[in-house]
Amino acid sequence: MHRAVGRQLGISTAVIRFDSRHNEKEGVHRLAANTPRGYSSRPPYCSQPGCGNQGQGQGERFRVPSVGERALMPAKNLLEEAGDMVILTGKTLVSALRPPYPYGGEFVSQFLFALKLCWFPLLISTVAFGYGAPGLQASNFLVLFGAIDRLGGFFVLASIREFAPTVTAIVLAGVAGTAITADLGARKIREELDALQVLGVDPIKNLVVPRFLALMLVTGLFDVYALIFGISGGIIATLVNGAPLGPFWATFFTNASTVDLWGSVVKCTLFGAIIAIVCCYKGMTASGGAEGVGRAVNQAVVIAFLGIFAFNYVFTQTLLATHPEIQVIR
Amino acid sequence: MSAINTKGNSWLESTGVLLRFCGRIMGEVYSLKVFKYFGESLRQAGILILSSTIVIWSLIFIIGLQCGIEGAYFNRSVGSPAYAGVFAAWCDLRELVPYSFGYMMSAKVGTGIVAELGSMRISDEIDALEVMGVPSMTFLCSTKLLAAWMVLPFVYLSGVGAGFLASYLAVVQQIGEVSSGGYQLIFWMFQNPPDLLYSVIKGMCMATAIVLVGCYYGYNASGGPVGVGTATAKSMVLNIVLVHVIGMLGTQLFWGANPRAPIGG
Amino acid sequence: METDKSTDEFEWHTGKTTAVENAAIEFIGVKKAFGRNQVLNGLDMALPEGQISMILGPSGTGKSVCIKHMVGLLYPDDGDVLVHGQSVQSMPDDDLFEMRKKFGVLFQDGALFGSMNLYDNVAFPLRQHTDKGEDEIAHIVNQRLDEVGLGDANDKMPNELSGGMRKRAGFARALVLDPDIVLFDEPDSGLDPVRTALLCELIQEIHAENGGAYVVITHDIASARRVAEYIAVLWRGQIVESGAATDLFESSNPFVRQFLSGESQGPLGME
Repeated sequence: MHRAVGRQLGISTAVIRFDSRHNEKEGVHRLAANTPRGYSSRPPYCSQPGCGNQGQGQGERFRVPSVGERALMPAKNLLEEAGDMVILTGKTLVSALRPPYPYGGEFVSQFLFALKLCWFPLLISTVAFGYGAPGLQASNFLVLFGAIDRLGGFFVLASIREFAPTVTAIVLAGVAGTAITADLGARKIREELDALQVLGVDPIKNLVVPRFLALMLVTGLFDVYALIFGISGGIIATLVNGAPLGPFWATFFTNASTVDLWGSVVKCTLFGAIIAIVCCYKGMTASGGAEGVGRAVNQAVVIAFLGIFAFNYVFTQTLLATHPEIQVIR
Repeated sequence: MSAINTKGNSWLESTGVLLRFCGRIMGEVYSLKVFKYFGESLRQAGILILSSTIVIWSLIFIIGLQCGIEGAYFNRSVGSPAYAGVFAAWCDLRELVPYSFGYMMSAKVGTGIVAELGSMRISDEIDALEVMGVPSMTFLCSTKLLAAWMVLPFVYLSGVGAGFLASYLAVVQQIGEVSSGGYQLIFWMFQNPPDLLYSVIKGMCMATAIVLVGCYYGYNASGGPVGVGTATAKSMVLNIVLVHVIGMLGTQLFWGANPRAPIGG
Repeated sequence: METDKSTDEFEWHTGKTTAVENAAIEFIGVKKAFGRNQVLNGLDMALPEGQISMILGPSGTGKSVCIKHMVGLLYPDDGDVLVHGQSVQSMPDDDLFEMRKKFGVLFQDGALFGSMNLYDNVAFPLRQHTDKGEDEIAHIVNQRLDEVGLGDANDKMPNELSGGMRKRAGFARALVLDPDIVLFDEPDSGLDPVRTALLCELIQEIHAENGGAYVVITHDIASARRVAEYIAVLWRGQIVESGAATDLFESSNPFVRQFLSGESQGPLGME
């Protein structure tokens, strides 16, 4: 079934390859002979022969592709991939809900795998981020007004609403997401995915669904973990400024609201879903060749990062607009 | 060898190997050995510009928007919407532009280098270079570092511009509680050239670390296409941690004892 | 490695060597281990100048490791490797890079640079090491590509080529600096018998034209019969027998007989 996901893309590249084989030779010859030292006729980070100036049809062999074409081709591919990912999301949700449910064991092992891999990088990252960005910079600002006690209130805004979910998502995408892509990509290359299908096992149900659910759950839970350590970064910043902790907690708890907390956890869980879909998709569509899996990981993490922040923008916007009460600093 | 050592020892050992590797690459750039392959450096610089800048800018832009709306809502809630510029200025320039630059560098450039060098390693291309009498480390790694140093400061500076623009759009055009002039006044009052310089230094430290880590994992990849994938994933873990640690140390060093704000004495 | 096995481990290693005068490459007591895996175990071997030599042996006996020692990509734990009488491991880096220019190496899958087309791949060593102009480079490159039969494919990218074409292109790149010694790492792997035969013919033709020492590593007996002038049989990190090809094919050593005739009965098992 996973083949259907990549089908559109596969066909389009096949057509382009066909064209480039039928290019006439001499013209390109001379071009190649005159190319400067170390010049590559293929765009740098592009593994398919269909990209760039080789993708031109017959009779256009001397035409350098226009800037517009060059810019639009990746955009077109991106749209196709986005579509494929949406299809994959739909299939994942459907097969997660429809019986039978054979993915329990894989779910648990993926959950523990992500937990084991991420807890330490996440700990360092959240403490460092919490201490540096909101901690030091905000306390610098507040000390000027003699209002360092307000740091607690600021941390509700900064850490719960923004930094804890985003840092969690960044770390999860960079650590667990890349591991998932590398794992699934390896299985694709070794033809294990094809073997599974031949054996009558649905790879989406048995591989994607458990990863999807495990990553959603683990990202949501890690958000709370990141909150705790992010705030401890703020505590360190308070202590570095020689201020007592009592006022920090006082302003923290007057400002913290349940809407903030559930907003943060829900947001982070959805980040987990984005990461899981992007990384599974990229892993399962990794192409052969020496560079295939590495390239898949590279693209997966880039798309996941962009997706996370784009979604974050929309979510924050909506949350702030629909719940005006959380904007009031008490 | 790792079978004989205990786990702790091999961890220390690999850190040492990584540091020596990085030292050698930096040494080759500083001793100007790399200029023998300046053409390759220029090519790498071109690749960097064409393939990575737009993604880096777009991430910084999205995060700039984010900074803008958070700042606007925060300042509205404390009753001083006119001061949204302070939040945007500090948040963008000092913290989030370096972080988002670091994130996207490690995602796009760092893993890209691992995938490229790793696939060259496993298809014997690096050995082929050596056999043809080309010092592969200079030719592949040092040229990439030089290219990064040549190009990235400019990418970074224009990224800062993208972040500023995004915050402006979010605060003034989208939320619209402060006039354009009022926002600009506060925004520019709360930053000065040294802040920009510190921010660039922070970003460049991250970029250097990311390129070196990428070169290390790619150059030493093994185990077929699967090994390249694993090495790419592993490099990302180290990069994420390094970006956050460098970000924190930079903040502590540059702004820890001196808020550099135009208020009070 | 258990000690009780080692008593008869080298039972068949009679080490019969016909004297090699004028050796291009010599291995003297070379030992190399990766972790606990002892790959080369006191290897003594000399490969003659001006002939096509073959290093034969079962899979995983360290044949590729041999090649890496010759060009100084790996250094022995013990012993020495001499190229034209010079010790590889005691060379300073600059001499090593100089020495490597004597070599042309054809890697298993060609090891063409994926970011360049065929022409640029073959031109790469010339651009790095000589001051020739583009016209002269174009002349040499096209001549070499014609020799290996790829004259009309020089704008192709490596991933558009078949395995055999990649190997021939790697061969052209190995030859482009007129090397004294050419090394072939399993030129027949992943090729059908006909392509293998054609590649072997090509190796012979080009050797007849250019001379120099050619060293081929393989476990394919058919190509050994076809091109080898000198054969060394390697097993468990040591030479079982070596000598002129005609002598080896008549050898009375059971291991060599089994290996060269490809039978299942004999000293070599699955292990």
